[in-house]
Amino acid sequence: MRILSYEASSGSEDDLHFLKMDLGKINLIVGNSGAGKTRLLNTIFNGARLVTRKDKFYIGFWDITLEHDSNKYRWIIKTSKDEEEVGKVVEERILSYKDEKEIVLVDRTDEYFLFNGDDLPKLSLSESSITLLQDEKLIKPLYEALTLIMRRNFSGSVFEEQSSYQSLPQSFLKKIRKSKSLKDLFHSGLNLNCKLYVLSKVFKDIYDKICGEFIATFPFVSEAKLLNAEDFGISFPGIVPVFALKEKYINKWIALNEFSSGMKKVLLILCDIHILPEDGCVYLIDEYENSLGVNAINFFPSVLFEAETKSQFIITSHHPYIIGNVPVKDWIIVHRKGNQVNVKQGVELEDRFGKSKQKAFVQLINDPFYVEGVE
Amino acid sequence: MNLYILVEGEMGAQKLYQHWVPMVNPNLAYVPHISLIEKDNFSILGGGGYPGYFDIISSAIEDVNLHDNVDRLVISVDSEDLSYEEKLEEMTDYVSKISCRADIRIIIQHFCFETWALGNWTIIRPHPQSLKLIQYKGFYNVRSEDPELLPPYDLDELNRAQFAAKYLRHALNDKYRNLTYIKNNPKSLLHPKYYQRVKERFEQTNHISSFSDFLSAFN
Repeated sequence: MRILSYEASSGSEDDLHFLKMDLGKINLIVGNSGAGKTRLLNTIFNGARLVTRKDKFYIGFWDITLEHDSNKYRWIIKTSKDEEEVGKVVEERILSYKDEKEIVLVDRTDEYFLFNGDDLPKLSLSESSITLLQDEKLIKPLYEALTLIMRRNFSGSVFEEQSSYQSLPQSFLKKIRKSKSLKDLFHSGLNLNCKLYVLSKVFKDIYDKICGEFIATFPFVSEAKLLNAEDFGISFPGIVPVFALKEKYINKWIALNEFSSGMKKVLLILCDIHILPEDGCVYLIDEYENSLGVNAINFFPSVLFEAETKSQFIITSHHPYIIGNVPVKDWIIVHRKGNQVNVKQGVELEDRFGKSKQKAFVQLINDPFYVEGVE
Repeated sequence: MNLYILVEGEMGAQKLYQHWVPMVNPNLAYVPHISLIEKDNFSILGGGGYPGYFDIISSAIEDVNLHDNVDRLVISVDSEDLSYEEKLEEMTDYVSKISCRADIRIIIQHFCFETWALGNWTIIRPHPQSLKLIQYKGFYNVRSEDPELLPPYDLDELNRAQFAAKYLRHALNDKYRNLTYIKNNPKSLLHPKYYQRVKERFEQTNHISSFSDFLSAFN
């Protein structure tokens, strides 16, 4: 799954409008504070949730071209609220491409609904046509593609929950022992402790790899191991795994929830990257570097580039090291004027930046499009 | 004449140069990158306050050697805690070791560009309302004394560069209620009248003598 191009508006017409941008495998979104980087990531994630979560409806406009399983689609949807403040689809089109030929799969307004050229009866406007037609052969890959957008949040309770005590459902363990599918683990919604436990039981080689890379990043760690909540004096029914480490010169196990913020982030990213579905997903990461030390920051660019995955990364950063270690061609610079967010693709800067020996980051912070990031 | 200018500090210093250089030499027009320099252009590269300014200087000299239409490389730097002479020696020593095909001029902002900005005596009202400004003025009056000789303000644990920036902020706030000065956005200093007042102070007194580096670098 990969997003090839993206344009969107969040919320009502007064909210931000992100002009069209092209996306590659690695995409580093850079821009001044307030330029709209985080909101860009939110719109991507919300667009997917509009389709995959029946309990969520988002107002806005999305025009996404994506590729999944050798199928290329373009999905254009506009939603708004009716007089009773209920969300509804205003218009929607789905196009697919075969030998560069465009085929209209869905053409829909509140007046009509055409699917593959045929009239459909009136269906609920509170759901996208992808949700409604997800079992249709022509739409199924598109639905599946949108289930493969993942946002990693590194702040607040969502992040803390990753290291909390969680009981692992026996039924899930049974299912994954049978399926041996990493995709099941990816979609499981389990926290980090439980995911690592499952990996250690069903995908031992991946678990060992994660532990090895984690210890290499933090050489003061002498040993990493999965323990139980009971080992820390906490009693829960069932399996409550706790990933723990020992540091050199300290003879005590430290539970995941006691790790430093940087160590948790590194472990979370390592785990994510190793269980990303084989046919790829879109992995959104917002300001990974916040409050991190040099060792945890330096780890990040290499792990992105060396990841043996077809997945696509869309990340935001302000950090000179991260920006400096992502090739200029992979940058997307955002610049906001009022509610319109313009983008400059890194390839537009690559030639000019190549004519100077200054580091790319130094040139970026001198580029007027970046410096005057919000007008 | 084409110039490539390096500015050490926060992005605000870069903005100031972008506006003030054409006031010194109206023939010069700004372009946003060295590769866009053609005729009578200047481009500015700011270090952004990040460490590694000497690396930026080395790369800038390499760039000047690559772009044969740059006639002069101007390197601007704060003297901060050093004397003017000590900073000049440090910079001269460094650049003399690297071969550069263009003329190199060094501007020592003694001890930061806020010191020059304090040279505009009209921003200090004769009878300030701000209690802080009254304190500062009582301690050292930049209206009558040379701003380059501003001492540290130990009472607030400010070194002289921090004191100059805070003095300037209080002065501007006192004079213009809605005007806030921040290092990254020195909007109030960009006006031609502001530059003119600083220049007058330099020309009519023996104050802010390091400002001569700035004037001569662009003529």
